[in-house]
Amino acid sequence: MLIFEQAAALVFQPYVLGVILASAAFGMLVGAIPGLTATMATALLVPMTFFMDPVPAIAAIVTATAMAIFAGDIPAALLRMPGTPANAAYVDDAYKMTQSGRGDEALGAALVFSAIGGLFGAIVLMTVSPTLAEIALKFSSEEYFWLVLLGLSCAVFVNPGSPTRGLISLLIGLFVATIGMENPSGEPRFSFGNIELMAGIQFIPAMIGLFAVSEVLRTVTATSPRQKIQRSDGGGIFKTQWKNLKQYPVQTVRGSITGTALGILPGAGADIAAWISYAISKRFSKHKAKFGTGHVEGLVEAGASNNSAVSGAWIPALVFGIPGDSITAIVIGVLYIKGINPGPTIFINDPQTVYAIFMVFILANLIMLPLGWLAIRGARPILSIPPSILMPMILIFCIVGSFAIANSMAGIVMMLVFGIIGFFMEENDIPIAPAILGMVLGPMLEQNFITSMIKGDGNILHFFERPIAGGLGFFTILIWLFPLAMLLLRRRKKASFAT
Amino acid sequence: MIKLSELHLGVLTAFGGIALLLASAHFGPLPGQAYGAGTMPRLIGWCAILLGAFMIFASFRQLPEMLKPHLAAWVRTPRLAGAALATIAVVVFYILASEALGFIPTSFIGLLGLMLALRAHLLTAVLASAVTTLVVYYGFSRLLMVPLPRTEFLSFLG
Repeated sequence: MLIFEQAAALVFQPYVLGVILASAAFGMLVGAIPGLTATMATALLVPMTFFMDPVPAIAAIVTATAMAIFAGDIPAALLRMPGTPANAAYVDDAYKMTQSGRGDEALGAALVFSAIGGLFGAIVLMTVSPTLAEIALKFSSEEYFWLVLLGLSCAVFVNPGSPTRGLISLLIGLFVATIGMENPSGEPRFSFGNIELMAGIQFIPAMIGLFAVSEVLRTVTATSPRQKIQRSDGGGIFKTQWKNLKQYPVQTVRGSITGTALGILPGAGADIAAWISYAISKRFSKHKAKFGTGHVEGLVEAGASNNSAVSGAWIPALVFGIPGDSITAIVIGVLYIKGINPGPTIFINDPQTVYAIFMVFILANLIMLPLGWLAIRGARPILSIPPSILMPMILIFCIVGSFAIANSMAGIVMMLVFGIIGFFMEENDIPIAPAILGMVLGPMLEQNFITSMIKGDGNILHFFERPIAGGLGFFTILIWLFPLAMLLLRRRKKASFAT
Repeated sequence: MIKLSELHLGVLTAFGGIALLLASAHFGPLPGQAYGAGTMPRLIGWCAILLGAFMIFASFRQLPEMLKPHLAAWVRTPRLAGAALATIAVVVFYILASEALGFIPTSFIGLLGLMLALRAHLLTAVLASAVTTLVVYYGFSRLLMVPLPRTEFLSFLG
């Protein structure tokens, strides 16, 4: 009980509540601008969090991401331009509802079910994390090796794109993680005598480059112009949501469970959760044909799913120090900078911070309802800022943010280099998320791999000797073999069809 | 920018893997151990070679199509190609000029130049550049204490 009181004292301060409000408004703004993702909101927030205590810093990120993912529904419904990739799954339904004069119902559903999903995920986070942390305390380097490899594998194979391109992205990330002196023998690698590179690649400028600068480049080179904003019908945002909740209770719960589960799976995240939940909703719906034509059912399930995934992704991040998605990958970096080591010991060493994070999740999802209502009402002026003005503004923010990390121009150079790499990757359909996870998890993978190899005297079977390690290893190999099995199955089907 | 086919990417990945193996050849192991600084880069290198080889092998069936280079639409549109170059140029300009000019003039010139290159209206661009520069300057330099580059020129603003 004392820990709860201490946690509440950390959260319920005017300064922290002010940070939550301000970052909620910031998250809404970023999420509502098409092309700017929740991850980018987090990356842009990081330079600000440097100047905050741990709890307000984490509160800022939690609130901004939850808001950004909901706010991405606003341009999705009004312009058919999903604000974040997590809103793309049901964009057709939301947009067609707007076209048929039900824009407020679509946005209201997105808002209310996002909040429900977020609260569900937060409750699971609060109840499951401490138990998992107790189990995680028994983990050794072998278990951590497999867990990291499992996360990296999911990032490659759970993504909707090509696995080969996902693997290229992962290898790029793992290679970037090897740069510098942070390795088992402390030998400088690939630094070419450059002092800045000897310290390794600065994660935040690289992140700002990969997500924000590449997005600026993509927007300025976009061949199709923006569409005009559609007129909203001006009806009540919350009016129809009680009816939707009564009509789709199974979809709401199923979406929340799926989202939380996929959020927990390292490497998956809100984007994939929304797509899978939309597909599940369509698969089990009585009105399959209505999907994609302005039907609210898929929006309810996928809307609950993407926000619950945001909370779910924090479970592996807090318990194992392994990010569930690219947002928690940044958060882990912030936690380390703040001197808090994510992992099972955080529940012993810093329980009040952990419970403060839980409280922030609940607050963020509750505050979403009034702020979301305001954002829906005030969306039009934000959406009408022309890209020719908005993109340079974002670019200068990226430059200053990258400089602020170490007060050095090297950060800006890294940001630019990674911006061009990210742009090249996206132009060639190479996903960015596996590269990010590779950069974050690379050192952990190397350390646990080398430790286990030394412990096992080079015997690969040593990785399967402990029961949990063996199980995790088996599961990881299964994920790697799954695409191969699918390929063989498809070929056999084709062959039998030909004969 | 050229859109690379599976074959091009496969060749690039395999070459990247070979380069990584060569570059990590001189990394020694930990004292008394078989593993060290070179283990991980070499593993990544071998993975890249195998992946590249698989991608090359898998693209043989559509070989003529895979060999054709595809230019992205924006590369063939001078306005859009110029916009991409202008974006990169603004960052390079900031890196080279900010220490000498200070943050305020560099940011204002960079923003204005990019907004005009993206065909914003002159008056709107001047106003937006000025407001953004001042907001970013005061936000980061004054509130967050980031030592943004400063010179005597326009120092009365800070």
